[in-house]
Amino acid sequence: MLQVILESYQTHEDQLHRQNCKLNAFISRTSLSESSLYPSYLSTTNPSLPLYGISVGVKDNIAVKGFPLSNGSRIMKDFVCPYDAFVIQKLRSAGAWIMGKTNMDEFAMGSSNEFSAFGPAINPHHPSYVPGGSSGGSAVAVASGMCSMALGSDTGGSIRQPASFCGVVGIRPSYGLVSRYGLSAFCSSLDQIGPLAKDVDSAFKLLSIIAGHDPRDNSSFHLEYEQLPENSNVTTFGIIKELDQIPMKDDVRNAYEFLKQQLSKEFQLKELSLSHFKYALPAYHVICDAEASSNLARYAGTHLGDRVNSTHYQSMLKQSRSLLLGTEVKRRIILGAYFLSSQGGQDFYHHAINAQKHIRIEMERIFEKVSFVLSPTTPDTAFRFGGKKDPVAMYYSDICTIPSSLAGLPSISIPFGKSREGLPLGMQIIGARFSEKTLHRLAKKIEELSLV
Amino acid sequence: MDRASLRHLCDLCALELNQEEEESLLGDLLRIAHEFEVLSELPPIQDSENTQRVFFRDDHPQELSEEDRQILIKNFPIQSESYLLMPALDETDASSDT
Repeated sequence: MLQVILESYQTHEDQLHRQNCKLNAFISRTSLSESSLYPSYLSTTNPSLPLYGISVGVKDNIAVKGFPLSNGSRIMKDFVCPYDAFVIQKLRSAGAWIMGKTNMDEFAMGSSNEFSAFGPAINPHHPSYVPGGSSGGSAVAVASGMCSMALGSDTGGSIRQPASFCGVVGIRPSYGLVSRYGLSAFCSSLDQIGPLAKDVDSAFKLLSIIAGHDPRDNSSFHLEYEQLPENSNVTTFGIIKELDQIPMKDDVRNAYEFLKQQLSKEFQLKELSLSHFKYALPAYHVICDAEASSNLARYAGTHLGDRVNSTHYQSMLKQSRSLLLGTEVKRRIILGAYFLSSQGGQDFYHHAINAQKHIRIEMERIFEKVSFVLSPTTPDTAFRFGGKKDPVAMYYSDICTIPSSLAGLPSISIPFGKSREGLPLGMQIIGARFSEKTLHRLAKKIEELSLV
Repeated sequence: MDRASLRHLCDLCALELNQEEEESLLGDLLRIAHEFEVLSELPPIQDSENTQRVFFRDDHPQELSEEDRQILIKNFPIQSESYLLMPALDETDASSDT
């Protein structure tokens, strides 16, 4: 048994040494993750723990004691974290080995990994294509075999979209199931930490370990994974008409129709309307940018982050932020300030919150009629680097994942075949809040169908 | 949105943009503001006191009444962090930041 674990770890290490210079999935490893320490870690860890010997990559916006917490940004590149996030405490208690920190779009703002200050991670299926984002490094690390599992964070699709682009499983848990203590805040009302893994069982195993109540996160529910309800009588999948009608790449459409056809042999497929669908993308971006503009005020070169020296406080502040934050981050901070200001002549933020409530209420009504909703994870496969220069076109990558984010619902991306170019495709299931256990069973079903 | 208004927003965020970033953002702001106007079509859902009072990022905090400050802190903790603190810091120089 020990030999098998050591060999498995060595395979990950070999992959990392061979591939990371090309794929740029891991951006930091420290003396704490040196391979020479692995045997002593094994000998001092209880072998009966559920993640004993398992190597886990961690997105670089999650606090790991003794590791950098750069958030993919120049302004935080020298910050070494003095504490563990709740999810890391859970991983350590379960016996996991932290392999290192993975690449990401700066402060989780992006869908391609092109906005990382450390250069983008590369899609392991084709070097000219993006891995997706913002948790692109975690998806690449798992897909290329550099680690067994990884943690990412998902605000509007940042776990599911890179999982789909790289051909791995990615889960966004219900809002409140996993504590965000130790996650750098981007959009606090939507941010969630979740797992990425090669298969459905491994992803849910990791989720079951990181879930649970934490009094340090006000949004955390008094609920452990084992207490989640399970529905053994799922008969119907919902198909949201408006999601079904969005423009999709042919390969995505074909795979989606094939999956619907296969599922219809066992389940009833019911078409439903999410009449507020068109408001989801604008509402999401107004809320995100507004919250980001406030959350990122703390990166001022004083108590957090690097600084540019200057004689006056105000110029130090401005120069530090202007020179050390990336263009996309600055863009979103200013857009957020605009949405919160009176300059636009209308109250964007409150209109967006109102739209979110409409979407949430309508989604709740949908789940009174069906148990789960099916859709592609993204309307397109991975795109080429530089292929989406228009930020609004980039935002469109998240069109299928945003509604469940706004409604706080769990959702999963499962690999489902490949395109003609050999790029992975992903299908998404969305469930009612805290339906993760049933979601696991149905995701297994789709995983089996993907092999047909 | 004109260049002066954009620079005022940048000041509020303690940011300076280069000319290229400024041009790009001016275009984005016009387009996004137009595209996101769709959000105002929806009827309001009145379910909390949050909708009773509207605050804007460019309101001057010194002009807020104590009652409004308390509403802001209670209902918008994330927004109020930078809303109340950042402009106050504008007037502080490095020598007093000890």
